[in-house]
Amino acid sequence: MTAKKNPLKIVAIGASAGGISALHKILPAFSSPSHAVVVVIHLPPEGPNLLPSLFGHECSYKVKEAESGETIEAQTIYVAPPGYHLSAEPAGTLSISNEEEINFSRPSIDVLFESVAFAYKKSAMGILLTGANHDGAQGLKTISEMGGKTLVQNLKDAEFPTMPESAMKIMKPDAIFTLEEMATFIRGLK
Amino acid sequence: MKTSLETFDIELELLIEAILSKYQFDFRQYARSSLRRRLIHALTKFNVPSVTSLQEKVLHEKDFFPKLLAYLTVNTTELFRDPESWKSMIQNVFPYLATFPSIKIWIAGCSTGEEIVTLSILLKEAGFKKYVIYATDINPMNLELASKSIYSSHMIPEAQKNYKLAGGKGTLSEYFESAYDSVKFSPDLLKNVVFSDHSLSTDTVFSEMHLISCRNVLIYFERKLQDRVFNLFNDSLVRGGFLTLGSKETLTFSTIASQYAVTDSHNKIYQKK
Repeated sequence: MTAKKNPLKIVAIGASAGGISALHKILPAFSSPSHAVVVVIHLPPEGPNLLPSLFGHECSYKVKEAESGETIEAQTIYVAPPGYHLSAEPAGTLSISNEEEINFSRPSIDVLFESVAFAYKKSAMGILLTGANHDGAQGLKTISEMGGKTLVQNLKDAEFPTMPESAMKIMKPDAIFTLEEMATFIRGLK
Repeated sequence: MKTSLETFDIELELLIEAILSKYQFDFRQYARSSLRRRLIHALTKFNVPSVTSLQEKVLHEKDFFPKLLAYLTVNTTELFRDPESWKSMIQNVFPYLATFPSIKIWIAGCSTGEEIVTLSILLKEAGFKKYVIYATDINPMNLELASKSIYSSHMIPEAQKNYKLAGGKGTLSEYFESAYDSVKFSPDLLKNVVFSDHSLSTDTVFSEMHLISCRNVLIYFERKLQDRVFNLFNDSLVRGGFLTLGSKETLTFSTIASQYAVTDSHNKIYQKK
């Protein structure tokens, strides 16, 4: 039940308002053979999850909606189903839940980030992007406290800077990047 | 030296073992991230500094565990939740149920009972008279609440909308009485319901069912326990019987998948071959 059993590294991404176009710029940059990506973006809970089809054709990673109990595999981007929290488990699997909203959000970025921090510890990376609320700040802090890496979007570059800004108020991220810098960094991941 | 966050994980595993040894409730195959959030919530609620303090109470205070249990499981549920799936059940499952002189239905993980009220209303409107609903949950306090069928009136506007979307024939208000901020559904709706505490992680088959409904329970279980539960359901269903799951749960990757036909993949309705 320790991080040692999880051979791959995980990147957790949180985005809210302005997030779709931000994700278009960074998700296609993933090409490393050893990473998996988990994504929470705040969207209305009704209707089908269009994100996998929206991003699928432009990414070299496989893009899919996360399912409860499935094993996390490298070179895959898992998107939280609308209306459900998404978590990474110490056993190397994903889980979804309809627990109460956190920060008025379900899925909540804090829930994803904190689960990733506990399950992957030093092998976790958190990326917090544009958004008009405070979700994700606490979770990013936890990733940092558990030894993981943290990146936030440059406030001038973010369509809505409130979310990355609230993280920077309570913790010191390892890097503050524009989306372009972030994409370059992601392309360099091994 | 571990950080306090890592120590939390150690304490969580110890608490799970303590609960198992003392009360025979088995949380070992529950998704950890959710349990961790439930426990953080419980620390605030019971105003204790650590999970170890909770464990002390679990082991030494007589009435504490039932109270904690309410925080360990997720009880989010709604009347007529996912109305499309109920509509599909009326269209695809009810005609099959109507071919039997009497029907047995199992609602596994009934929580506070909203799903029981929903199904009872739809069965009544479809003209079913001879049926039994076995409503089970691991938490006796949930069963107690479910048997009263009293809910917050805040739920009602959404429930009325979903009742219509599900194919309700009348008006929902025929079925309940309002008082202050609450509504109480007619006890008549629950007269064919048998409440029983039952653990999907440790208990076994108790009857032969024509329909099993288990919504948003399996998402909290790890794969091994999910498989146990699927096999338990498989052993409980008659041939031709139906299984319905929550909107994000699927039978497709389970060990019993090949024994089932998919009746409605979107609404997660499966029929045993």
